[in-house]
Amino acid sequence: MATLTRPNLIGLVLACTLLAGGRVWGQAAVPHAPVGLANQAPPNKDTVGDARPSSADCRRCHVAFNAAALTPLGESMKSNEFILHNESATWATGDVHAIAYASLSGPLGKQMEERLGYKVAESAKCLTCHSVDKSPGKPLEEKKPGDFFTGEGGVNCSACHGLGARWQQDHTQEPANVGDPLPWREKDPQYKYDHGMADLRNPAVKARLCASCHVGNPDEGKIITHDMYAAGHPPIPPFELANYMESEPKHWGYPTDSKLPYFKQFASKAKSPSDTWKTFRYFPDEKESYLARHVAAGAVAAMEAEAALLEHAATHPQKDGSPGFDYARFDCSSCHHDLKYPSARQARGYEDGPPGRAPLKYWNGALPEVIAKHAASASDLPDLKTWGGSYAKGWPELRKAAVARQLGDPEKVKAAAAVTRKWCNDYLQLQTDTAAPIYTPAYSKGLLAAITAAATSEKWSADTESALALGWAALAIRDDLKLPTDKGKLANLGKTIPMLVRLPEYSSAETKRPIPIEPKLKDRLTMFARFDPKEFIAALKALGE
Amino acid sequence: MGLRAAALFAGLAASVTLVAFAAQRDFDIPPSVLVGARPAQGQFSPTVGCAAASCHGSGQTAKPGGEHSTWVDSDPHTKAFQVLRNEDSLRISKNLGRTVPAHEDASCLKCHAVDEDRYFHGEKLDERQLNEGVGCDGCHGPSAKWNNLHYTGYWKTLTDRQKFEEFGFVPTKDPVARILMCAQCHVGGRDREVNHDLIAAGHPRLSFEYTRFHYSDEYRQKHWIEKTPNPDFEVRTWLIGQVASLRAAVDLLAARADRVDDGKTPWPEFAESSCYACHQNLGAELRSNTTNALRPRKAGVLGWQLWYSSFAKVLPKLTAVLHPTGAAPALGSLDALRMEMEKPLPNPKTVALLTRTTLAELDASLVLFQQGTFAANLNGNQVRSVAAIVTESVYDVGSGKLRDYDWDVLAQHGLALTALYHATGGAANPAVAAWKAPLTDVRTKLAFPTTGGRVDSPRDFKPDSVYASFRTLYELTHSDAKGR
Repeated sequence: MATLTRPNLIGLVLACTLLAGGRVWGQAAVPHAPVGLANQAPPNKDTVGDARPSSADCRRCHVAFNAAALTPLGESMKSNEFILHNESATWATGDVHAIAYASLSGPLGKQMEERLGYKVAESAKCLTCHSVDKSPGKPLEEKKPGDFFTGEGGVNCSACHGLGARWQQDHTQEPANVGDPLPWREKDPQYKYDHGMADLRNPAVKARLCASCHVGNPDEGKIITHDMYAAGHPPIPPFELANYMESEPKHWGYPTDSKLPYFKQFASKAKSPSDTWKTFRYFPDEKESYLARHVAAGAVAAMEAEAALLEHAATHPQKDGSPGFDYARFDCSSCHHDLKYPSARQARGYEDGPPGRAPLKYWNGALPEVIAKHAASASDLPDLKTWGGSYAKGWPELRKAAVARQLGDPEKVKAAAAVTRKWCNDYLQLQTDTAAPIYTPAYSKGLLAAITAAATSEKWSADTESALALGWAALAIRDDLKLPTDKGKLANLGKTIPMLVRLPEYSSAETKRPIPIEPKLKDRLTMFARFDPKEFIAALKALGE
Repeated sequence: MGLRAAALFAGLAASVTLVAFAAQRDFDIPPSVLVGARPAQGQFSPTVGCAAASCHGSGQTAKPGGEHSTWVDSDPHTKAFQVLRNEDSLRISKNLGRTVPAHEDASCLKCHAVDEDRYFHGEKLDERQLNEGVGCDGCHGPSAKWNNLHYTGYWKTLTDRQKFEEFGFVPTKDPVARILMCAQCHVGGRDREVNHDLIAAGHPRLSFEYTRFHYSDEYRQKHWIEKTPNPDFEVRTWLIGQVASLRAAVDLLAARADRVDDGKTPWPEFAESSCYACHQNLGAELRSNTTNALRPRKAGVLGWQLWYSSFAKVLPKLTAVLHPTGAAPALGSLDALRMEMEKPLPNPKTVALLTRTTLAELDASLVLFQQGTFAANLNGNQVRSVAAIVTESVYDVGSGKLRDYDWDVLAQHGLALTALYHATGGAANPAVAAWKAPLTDVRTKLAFPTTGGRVDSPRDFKPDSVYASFRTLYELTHSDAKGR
């Protein structure tokens, strides 16, 4: 039959092979749900298929698929309208995720191994983030090295886009008639999710996925601990989604700046606003800021992830019965600073309690507080306004619970973490469900002003990580609003903070592989250590409105 | 005779009261025969009673009879109260959210003045008295019971223990009682402490080492004359200082562990840990990333009381040299206490129990010292033996590495060797003159930055930078011993 084309046949063979030797998925919630974030059930295994962690097949199209040369197949798929055909190559040559596993055997990995006394390249504690976890829902203590796919050196396509064999196979399915749209392309995000593909076009989903490693996720066994840091794991920088996205060579396109015809339709009104909304969860017609949505979702998802880690610590005591709080749950630079006077911390004051206690990570509260207060005062959307007004019951209470006793009062932390998680989820849900523009140009400008005011305040600039999160968010929104920005002034700001979480260059000209973190770490940390609030404030203010 | 009998009777009555008092507080104070392990009890008097020209106020500083005059002239303790009115103190109070200023704050006056007890009990004191700072009674004991006795013949018939227990007099000529008394404020005690809240608010950390304080530049002019000549005095007080300070630190920990349930006491108390384990910038080179040191602790663990326990492991060896007639003290429980304290959340009940055992062991050691049978007239070889033990405690010849990278541990070893160097005559003594260069190097590398405002941490310190000098000191102390 004409429909049994080459890719399908191969897919079928592969699917059979995988089914024969396939592993069982874990049962916990998959965090890549497109809608109904709060109560999203994990996709049905029958429609998702077995875990297929390898991305070898992706390269068939996403490296050098030549659509024109494959007529009539290429002609029929019109794939060059919606993919770049170099995604896998971009990932493999410049994206640091491609060496997430390999780096466990690099200089820092070896150092950590020696100091921790276990093999980091074989430990589930490391592999949950540094490789592809084939069964993310399986409890950490039951995970074995064989549960992880490490073959391609790191966090590959399926780790983020979805492990399931079914979608990986289905999304290459040809149309019934040459020239028709691809069947998969026109499916809605819910259908795709149900079949195992993560809806990464929704910033809320994307943020949650990234935060699961870049902050943590106890349900998936992604918990970094203080001994790992002490053994040499680089400090995890504050999570600001827009900056993280900007810090990798892009294997994707933003709808507004893409050269791909399929994407351009969304921005050029060739598609209906509802189609755009359904696909990208934003409103280009109203010139809504795409990046503001990312900034907000990223900040809230990071808080949600941290609250989940705290709740986990509060409910999982140590072996000897003492509370499960690890130093890694607390603010790094509240302890790790040189003791100099005058002190920005003392000038700021201690709103949670006496000085000298270990507070939660300040940066986790910085952006969400500004976003919430701005929503409460400036949003026209009643639900968003209400959400913004309820900030005080969540994270601020959690902060108090964390210092009610040194290193956390388990009962209070547990209660406040639950409230905080709900508050965060409510926002991600609102941003996903509200079929109206939130970050209109005027509203985004207001948010930018609020973020800048916070970043340049004594309260937040006393904490380097908060200054980074706020500064990065301000830069992203400025960029998206296309505000005129003087390059010299930008360069000045770049002398006070690292402008990108991962500093370029990304790819080694010699090896054609991503440049690992080690050679860049010194610059970033030195800049971090020398951070001077006054210089930062002056440089950020100089950018102007 | 009548007076003597009356005084004796009064003394007995006081002693009975004290025994009863001690019995009530059995749980708080472990049974001990040590003199000076707790603050002397009694009513304080202002220094004016001591300052008579015919007693201690002759006006001739640094001479017998001029003790009060010397104290007034230059003793740092005279400023103890005044500093509570300076900018630092204002800031500390503000940061702590205190409602009373530091100079009226009971927790500050405990150490920054004397006679704070009456003050705490609602009696507004004359600030002129507080303003004396840490006056005579602060160190010599509350004098109400003994100031009319201490110049009598009867007084000379009393033992140190009687003077302390019955009259509240601190026998400061006994180095054990003296250093335990200093430690009450300079380390902390059951009713007084500099905890991490206070340090975070701006109070300097306490890092007491007796010989450093005794010979500090601020304290050049003493109001007393040491009877014991060097090297004996400095070597002895260095060792006693180590044990007595550790005792005070463990007693303070016991008090903290006992108080956990009061809802106010922070636990874990970060001031129990090495300051610069945490307080270092997260720069590219963390201090623990050293190649020239062993790994004394698991990664990410905060070293417990490294300052005060730097020599705990070599204490028996040191004692064997300096106190050859006594049994070597056993400190078997200290490791267990350390293990518990180096957990992220130590169990306060376990800690409370372990501190009792540790205190008993430390007290046994101090009682031995208090009996005063130290080796006298130490010769060069004996001092070098002590120095050799100290260098072995910092440098492991087997691996060719430093045993620790922690600033506190390295600084304590630097101070110890400096004390031994000075005790034997320093540069003037050819046997130790060669120590000067490596000791100066260690001091320079460990120093806090002195430019750019006040910095309370060793910002630029790298453990590898002192490696060569400690190795040299090891070699010097060992080749010397062999050569003789």
